[in-house]
Amino acid sequence: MPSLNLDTSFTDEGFHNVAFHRPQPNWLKELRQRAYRTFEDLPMPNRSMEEWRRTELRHFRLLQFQAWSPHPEQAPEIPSQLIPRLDTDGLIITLNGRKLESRLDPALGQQGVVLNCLEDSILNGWEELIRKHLFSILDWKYDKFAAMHAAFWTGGIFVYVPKDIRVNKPLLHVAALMPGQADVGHTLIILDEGAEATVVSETVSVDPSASSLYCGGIEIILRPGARLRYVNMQNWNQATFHFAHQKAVLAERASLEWTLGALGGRLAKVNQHLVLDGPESEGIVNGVMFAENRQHLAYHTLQHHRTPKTKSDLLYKGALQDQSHLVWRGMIRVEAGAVKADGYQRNDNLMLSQTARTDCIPGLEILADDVRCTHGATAGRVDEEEIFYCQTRGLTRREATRLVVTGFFQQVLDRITIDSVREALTDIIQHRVREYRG
Amino acid sequence: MAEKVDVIGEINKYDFRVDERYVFKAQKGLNRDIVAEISAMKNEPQWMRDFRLKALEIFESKPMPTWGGNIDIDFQDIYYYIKPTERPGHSWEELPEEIKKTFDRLGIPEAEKRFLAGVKAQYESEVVYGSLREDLAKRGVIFVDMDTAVREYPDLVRQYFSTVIPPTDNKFAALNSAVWSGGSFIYVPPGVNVEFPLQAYFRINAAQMGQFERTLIIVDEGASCHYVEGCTAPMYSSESLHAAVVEVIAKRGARVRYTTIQNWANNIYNLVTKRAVAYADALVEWVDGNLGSRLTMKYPAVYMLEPGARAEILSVAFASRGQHQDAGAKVIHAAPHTSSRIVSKSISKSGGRSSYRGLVKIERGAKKSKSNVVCDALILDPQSRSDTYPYIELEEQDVMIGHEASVSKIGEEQLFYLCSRGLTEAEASTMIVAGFIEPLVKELPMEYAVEMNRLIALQMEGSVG
Repeated sequence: MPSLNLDTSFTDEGFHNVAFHRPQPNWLKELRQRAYRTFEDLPMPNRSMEEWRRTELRHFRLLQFQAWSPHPEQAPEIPSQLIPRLDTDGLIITLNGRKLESRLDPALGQQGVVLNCLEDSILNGWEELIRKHLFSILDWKYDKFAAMHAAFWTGGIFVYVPKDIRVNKPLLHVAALMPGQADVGHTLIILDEGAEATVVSETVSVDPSASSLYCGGIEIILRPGARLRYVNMQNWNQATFHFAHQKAVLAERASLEWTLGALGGRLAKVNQHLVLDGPESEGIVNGVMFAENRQHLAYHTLQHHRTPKTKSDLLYKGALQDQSHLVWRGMIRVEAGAVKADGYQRNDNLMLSQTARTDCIPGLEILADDVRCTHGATAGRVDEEEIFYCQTRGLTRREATRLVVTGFFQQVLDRITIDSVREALTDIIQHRVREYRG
Repeated sequence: MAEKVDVIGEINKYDFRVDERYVFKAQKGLNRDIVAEISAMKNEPQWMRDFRLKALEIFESKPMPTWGGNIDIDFQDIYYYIKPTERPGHSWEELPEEIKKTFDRLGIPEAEKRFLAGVKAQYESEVVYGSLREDLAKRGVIFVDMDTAVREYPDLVRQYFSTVIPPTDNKFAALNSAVWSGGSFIYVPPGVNVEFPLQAYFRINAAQMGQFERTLIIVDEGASCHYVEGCTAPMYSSESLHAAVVEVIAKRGARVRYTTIQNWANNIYNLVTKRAVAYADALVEWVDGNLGSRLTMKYPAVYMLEPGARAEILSVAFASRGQHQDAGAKVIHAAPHTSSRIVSKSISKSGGRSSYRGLVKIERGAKKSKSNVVCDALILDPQSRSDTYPYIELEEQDVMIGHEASVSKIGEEQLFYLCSRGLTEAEASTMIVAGFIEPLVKELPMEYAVEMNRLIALQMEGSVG
């Protein structure tokens, strides 16, 4: 472990201090080194690149963040929305990407279920499985942030559910960040054949207004017939930079219900990639986005149908107030031969202020003939008549707005099958809505 | 179908070539001398010559687009200017034999007699034939080729030329600005309604030819007109390039409809910039049919600059073997109470690729704007590909935006039904495709609608194995 006074920023020296002063197998050191070279070679994304055309990074200062620092003596209070609400079978709390505490129902542990720090798991008997899957689906050469993550990652979490084992209650991961720190944690979730689980991940800032950095990666591997419900509730404070590469690969008959809350962050740039890699696999994606103040949230989704008889269904709903900017860019790609694919994507945005702006870019790339692929997009504002109607029934203008906005999100909230997550999202939305001025 | 189509004969209708007999053929390649020479051949005023040379610099400084289709053009291996005749004719008899034969075979004089208010026919770089009904001329309608317009209506041309699409807009608009030749110039005075369509026909005959026509249409306040253009070229082994620029100005209360049916040979790069500006309460309609070509990149645009402006864009693309149709539409809402509607239909077959690429942009302050986009795609076999890339950018809340797109194959049930009524599978498929593009076809003048249906029937031949 690095000592207290070492440079742990995202520099050459910082890389050596963070990456190598820790016990780890050689293959991992080599992977880090290759990734670091790619990180050095790749330019910082800029607006001349199509994917970054709408996302301004000028205010982002990489060197102001620490890739690693020791845990404080006294763990800070973590303002989680979900810990009090969720009845769980297991909980892991990470601070700045590294484990603070974890617990798992011992009965599940005996059945071989794992919920632990990823780095520790490599050293504690899971090296072979992790080596096989770590960065096996996530392309760390994709851009500078992906390479940075692969080079610098520490801590992380590892979830493994063995064949035919069912985890009934959610496993909760709460990721907390301290001011000036970076979370470069990696999440690896593997569900073996026929396994079932619910994993909920929530991100929170310890300080309500200080800037931090998240540069993470999530890999979800579902073996044949596995079923996962995965929730990623991104709820950093509005000074945090969030760069995420998230990818799930589904084998035959596997199914995934993937819910994203895009709520926090000064700037969030997320690549969410769903791969239907086996016949009859099915993915449902729910996105709840709410941007306010000067937030910039950019979500790039890909529904990738690679084999016949696959199904994907994506619904992203976004609300914008103040000077916020929401970008959603989605793609359904159906490879040649992936017949009987059924792909759907939809993005609806509700504009709650005169000064917000939204870019919505659905897309289809279809290389097979026998498919059904559809997308839809709408944007509009709150209907003044609805507000008026509510006011005649005795609601204040703010209450009326809240009701209309909640109604707007209802369609996507209804698709979320975990009650406490749905309730938490509803609360956050209602709390955020200000009085609407058309 | 009621009528049995002679397939070989029909294909030959366009894929024929006549001997090259030209008054002047510029050297291959592109440089300042060639651009200056084109300008000199046309006796152009100094400002146009300077404009061309400046545009050439812009063309050279701009990189090739990295999106859309693969453009594999050697710009030095193209003839930029071929002058087929000394001066444009006003009656068929005046035309050189080869050219007359060409347009006779394409059926232009016949069409003119039957339903057009005016015709321009462009062969290679120059308009070779033009006519306009006398009554329209008397009411002040101008319909001449662009070269003539530069000479005879210098004030009008200078006022509007390149104001909608400057050479800096994109690489191919810059190229066109440097070497443009031919194209139509239309001016419709305030309050004049041109009831019958004005038509232009563009024909590339020579190999390795670049056709760069430049069309400028100004429809003054409260006036209206419908312009129709058709394009063909024979099949050569080497690529030819068609890079047109079309600028349309619709003033307050004007109505303009621009209809294009392009049926290029399979080795034409068709890279066209088309844009209209619509002022208060004006309506601009683009009706765009794209068949043939190796690669088409064309996104007719309407900039709605004043309240009440409207845009309607209807686009059909058919991509067959070796073809990539990257077509779409752009609407920019820059004023309140503007509305737009885009309907796109695409068909991919025999390994062809059709893409819809579009933009809906609502600028800040364009309150109460409405836009609706519908894209439907049919894929007829497993080798083909269909893409949809719609961009929606909103800077205003008080708007209504809708977009939907779907991709599917021909429905088994529809096929089964038609076959049960005695149609062969090929006939049934053709009929379903014809129904699929019906929203476009019904907007075409009758002759074009018939022609469009025949072209689709031709493309569909042998599609079901």
